[in-house]
Amino acid sequence: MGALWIFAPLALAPTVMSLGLVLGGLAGFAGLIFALQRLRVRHRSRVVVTTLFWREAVEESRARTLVERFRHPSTYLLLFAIAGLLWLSVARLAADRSEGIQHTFLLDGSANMAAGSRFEDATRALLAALEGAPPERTQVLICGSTVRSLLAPGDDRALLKARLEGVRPEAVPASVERALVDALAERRGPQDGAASARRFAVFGHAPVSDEALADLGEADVFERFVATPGQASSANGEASAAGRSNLGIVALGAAPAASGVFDAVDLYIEVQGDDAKGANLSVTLGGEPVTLTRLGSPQPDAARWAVRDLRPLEAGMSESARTVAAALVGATSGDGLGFDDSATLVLPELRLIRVHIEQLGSSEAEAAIRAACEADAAVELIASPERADVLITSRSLAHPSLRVAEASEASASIEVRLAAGTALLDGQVRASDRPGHALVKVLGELGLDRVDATRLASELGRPLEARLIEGSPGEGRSLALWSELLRPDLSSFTESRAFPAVVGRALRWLAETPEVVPYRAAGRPVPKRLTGSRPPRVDLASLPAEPASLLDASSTRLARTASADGGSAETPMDDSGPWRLSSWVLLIALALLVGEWLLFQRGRIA
Amino acid sequence: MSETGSALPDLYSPEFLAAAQRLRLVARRVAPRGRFAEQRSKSKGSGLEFQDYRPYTHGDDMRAIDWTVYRRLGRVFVRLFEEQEDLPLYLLPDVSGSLWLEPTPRVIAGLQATLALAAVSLGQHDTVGIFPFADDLTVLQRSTSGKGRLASLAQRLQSVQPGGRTDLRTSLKRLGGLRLREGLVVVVSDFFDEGGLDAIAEALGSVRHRLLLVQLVRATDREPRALVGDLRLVDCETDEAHDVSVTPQVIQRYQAAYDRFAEGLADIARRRQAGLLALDVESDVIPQIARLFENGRREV
Repeated sequence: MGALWIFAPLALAPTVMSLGLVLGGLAGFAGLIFALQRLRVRHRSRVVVTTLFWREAVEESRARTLVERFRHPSTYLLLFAIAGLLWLSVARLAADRSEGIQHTFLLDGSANMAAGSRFEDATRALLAALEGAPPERTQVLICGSTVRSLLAPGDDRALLKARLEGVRPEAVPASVERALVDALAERRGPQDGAASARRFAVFGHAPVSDEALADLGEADVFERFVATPGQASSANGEASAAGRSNLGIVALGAAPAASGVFDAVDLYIEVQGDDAKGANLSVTLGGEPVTLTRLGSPQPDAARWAVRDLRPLEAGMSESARTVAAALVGATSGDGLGFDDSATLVLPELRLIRVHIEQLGSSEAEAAIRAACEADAAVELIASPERADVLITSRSLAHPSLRVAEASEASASIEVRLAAGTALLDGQVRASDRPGHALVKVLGELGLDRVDATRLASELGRPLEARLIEGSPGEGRSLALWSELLRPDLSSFTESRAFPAVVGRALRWLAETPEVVPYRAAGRPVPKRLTGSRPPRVDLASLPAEPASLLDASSTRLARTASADGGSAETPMDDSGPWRLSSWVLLIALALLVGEWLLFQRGRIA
Repeated sequence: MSETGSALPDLYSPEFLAAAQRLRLVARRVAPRGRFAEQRSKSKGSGLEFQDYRPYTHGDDMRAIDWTVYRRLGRVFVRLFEEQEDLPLYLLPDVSGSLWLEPTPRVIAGLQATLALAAVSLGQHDTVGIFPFADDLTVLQRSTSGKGRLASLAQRLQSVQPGGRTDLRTSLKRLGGLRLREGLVVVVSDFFDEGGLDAIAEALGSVRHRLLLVQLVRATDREPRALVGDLRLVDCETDEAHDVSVTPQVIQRYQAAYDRFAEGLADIARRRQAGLLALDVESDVIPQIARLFENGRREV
């Protein structure tokens, strides 16, 4: 049994089977081959001229005993070596002893991994680490815009390479932490105990906060595989200079011009990085450069610019003509992360609101409204009611209309009518949802919340009341105002500075024109008030559909940090290749088997 | 089957045939009919060679009266001469499977011995018949005579094909059915009959001819030195297999069994008043047959 010493180091190496089972199997093979050695009689067949005399000789001999003495120790050792190695190959020696541990591999597919060859390095490290994990207890997730499963427990590992084909990092914030939190949340439950220990391995640079790691159990393991220090590469594949920091655009937004001009927007751009103050930013609209105004920034590693009254924006412009492009140029470009060196924004097509004013009951009201419309550059007064987007009338119509109603006809001094199920501007509140809340939001959109209602009520001698009414399906929006509000002799509303703004906002609201452009900021949700009819959304697994930013500010910071530090405390990637210990064991076993067959054929062994 | 298979090497060289001619075969008893030949016969007649006297009886040939004896004794005696009559030789070479197995098949020595004996008989103007046998008897040459027939017999023996199992009872029974003139039956075989000595004794007991047994032997029959270890021995004729672990004790028992067989076969020959020649297939055939006949003749 000295042959067992040969297998001691191999048997004690990690295997997917338990140590007891491996050693028990080896001992079983040793005993079985030993028994076969003693029990088996190898008869060589020979043809003879006659067996007459052999029959007599054998009949006279004693009966054969069941057990013979042990013979041919060298043959025994050879057979045991072959059987033992094959058994160890079945046990699948692996680099990781992971008895009962659930393995979850998280591949970072966020924007941060687009730097150089990070994603390719992470993929290779993932495949190498996968060799040592038991397939029945291992899953692989790709964390990009969504968290997707690339390999489920029990899947054939050959599928992973095929599934990784074409997978690339996405221009989205990192979602590894969210995936980790969800995985830990799944594990919680009365049925889970210490036996369900888990190993989480992150392949990439996605940040994981200490708060998320605090939910790990005592038996859980968290590992991160990052590129070996000194091997960071730039976006163009060449090794970047040591210590170069990353600079990136973390915010690009547009809002209606603060000046109130219809066909102008204000732009906002923010850059973060160590060299942010010296960043050279280029902003164009439709390819034409625009003038930037530097803003102050309380953060030392951030810089902000604004563009006021960016114009002209005319109706009928192509998308390319409406595209705002911001880019870092000059010495500040070409750093470790290319995603955040440029950003684009497509401004919505703004068109004039066609308004037809019918004859109102009050000439003063008609005159005031007409004057407000004529002063609004976004409004075009037309004579034909058929082509109008909004009608200004005293009638109650299904068409979108600004109605000047008598007090006896309107249920309130301000009556807002919305069809049932119609979403409000930001899509978050519907007319049927919490009417008071919806009304407040509408009044805010219309600018009526800035109207001195107390003064007007005093002038009118009655309180002002606003009401939100749910209309019939298919019915257009309408806004009804008491005519008294529009009579100069009764109310100063038409002479207030709010009146033109209210008329303008009302017409825009009634026409449902695309109001604002998306505002994108890294790591920050899009302000609900600024979202249009199709707000930009980034779906994250298990998160509500909440508008989020294009880039992850932490990605920008991490990219900067990784390239500047030149080192990491995490586990370097092991690019050990496809050959593993069990492959060599199997190869040796097969070689011994071939040798044994050759020796047996030549009669060198029993 | 042996390495030679069914194709025998060239068995009969001119030297072999010439040596075979010098052998003489004398039979103790001959049949009363047939042509005169050079065989010594118990019949005292008017043959060519003086043998004895007897008193004259009516009807005797006057030419046989020995007048010299009459002058001496005053009585008439006639001279008796040895009747030299032909002795049919019936050769039964064994062509069963066991004779074809070994690297130097015993069938070679067996067929050479067959032709040698045939040459002797043909040279003495005897008739020769050749009846190869295995599980049954076949007729290769029923009866022929004349020295010139030797070549054709050699050709026929050269073309002999392997047979099946050894069955002496059936073969000799078939021989009896041929109703041949009484002569000398020579069985050239290894006598490894599946029925053992009992079958051999029964078979030979049914033969009404005189018998000469030529047993084809080799040294390894008694000393199978090539067979060692754990073996599955398969009989080449019956295909029966026997697992044997060859040990010195087993070898001893094997040799004892072989010795009993040899003694038994000799005993059968004695009881049948048959000659028994153990022909070593590893040695030249002619000298061994010559030792069987001393001085050119041998009474059987």
